[in-house]
Amino acid sequence: MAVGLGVMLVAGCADSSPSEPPATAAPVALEVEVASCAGRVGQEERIALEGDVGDVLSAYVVDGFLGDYPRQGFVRAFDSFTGAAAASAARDIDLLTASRFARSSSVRATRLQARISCLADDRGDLVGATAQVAFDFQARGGDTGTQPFGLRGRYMLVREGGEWAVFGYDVARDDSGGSG
Amino acid sequence: MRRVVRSVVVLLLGLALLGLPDPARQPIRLSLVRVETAKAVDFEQGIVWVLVLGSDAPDGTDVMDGRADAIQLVGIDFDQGAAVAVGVPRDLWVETPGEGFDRINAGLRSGGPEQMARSVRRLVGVAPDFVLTTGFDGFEDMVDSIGPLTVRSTRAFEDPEEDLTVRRGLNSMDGQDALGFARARVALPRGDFDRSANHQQLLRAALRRLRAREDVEGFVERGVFAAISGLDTELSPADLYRLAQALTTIDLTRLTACVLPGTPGVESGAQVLYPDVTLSRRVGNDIRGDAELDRGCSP
Repeated sequence: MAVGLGVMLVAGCADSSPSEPPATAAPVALEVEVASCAGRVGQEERIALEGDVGDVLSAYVVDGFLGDYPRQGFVRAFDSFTGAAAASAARDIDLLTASRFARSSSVRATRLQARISCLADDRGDLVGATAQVAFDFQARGGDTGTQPFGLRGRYMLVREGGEWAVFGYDVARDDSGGSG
Repeated sequence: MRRVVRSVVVLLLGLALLGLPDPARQPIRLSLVRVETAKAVDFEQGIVWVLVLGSDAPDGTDVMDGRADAIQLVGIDFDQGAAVAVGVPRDLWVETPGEGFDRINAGLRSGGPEQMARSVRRLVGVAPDFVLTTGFDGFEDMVDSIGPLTVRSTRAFEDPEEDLTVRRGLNSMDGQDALGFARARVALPRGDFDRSANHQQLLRAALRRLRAREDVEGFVERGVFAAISGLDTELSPADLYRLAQALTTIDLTRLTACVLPGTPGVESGAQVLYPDVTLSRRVGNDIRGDAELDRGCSP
């Protein structure tokens, strides 16, 4: 099952110049699919997991890559990270967000896919999950012209106190436009 | 341009956490014990120290009933991605307060993982946070569960006792081969010192294998789920999961290793090794703050 989350994952365009066509492409939905689970995880829990992890990833994508450009404040993308992971991510902010395109006129998502592997304990309670992601974006304007870029890899999440949080990541950033 | 980021970084417990021990067996084949310290470990930042022990307890018996045939102090820096392994020769002649002198490997049977942790702490000056203990069959199963290991050997040798032929360079090893490689000693010119170095080669090979499988969907989750049942531990499933995930992100280029030296001697008619306490402490001081060896274990 795949869930397309109903968030507007397309950038606004605060001050695009006449020579730069506005980002009018249809919004790209984040597709989240639970690919596998270890332990007894029922269908309802899988659906809830897709929604919960989808919410975490959506917030990360919106705050880290989209929004109104030119923009600042990319560090908000790590609000759903654990403290230690957020501190680490802040050091890697240029790789984990679109901060290097802060002066662009727009950034839009062209592909947002996540496949989830989850872990339940021996009572069937969800403990952790891996989100294998394929995110592609396109930045316009600013210093770089039109620039596609992408992110591939894993975000690792745990559920503590009922909330999902990213505690680690292992991702590769490709700013060459060659992601595929 | 392709750039890679790794936030959580760690070590060898992958064999324990991502191997698939048989949970139905009753004797403890694999144990992960938290050592009482004043330090909190959250598996996300700072350095975690794990004392990894290979017990010589016979198959089918509790690993705590054996001696520590293999001893490696492993440190992982979650912040920087560095990892270090310090091999401790099993025949080091050390004092246990209140019990007198004995080979360091006897501590597992007489005082359990906690005593082994205390002995290593007194020797090196670094306090392990956890002690992981495995036996022969548990080790073999774990290697087989993650697939054949590609192990580098610094020399070619044959060990009839282990029915093992190793060539110099890379060797593909299943669980049985890997166990033979881990146990082989007589055929090695420096005996236990070379054997301990071989344990570190196995560690590298296991980590390389984990890295190779990290992107297989559900690999980590399946391994941890099996470990929840098959591993004797106080760690919560969430902590095991954090630790296992971290293991899959270790950067092998930042793994340094060495084996502590010792001077041969005889005690009560048995061959032992006298430790170089000053050097051992120097190594401990070297690795304590950053889990990186700057000077190695040589005098």
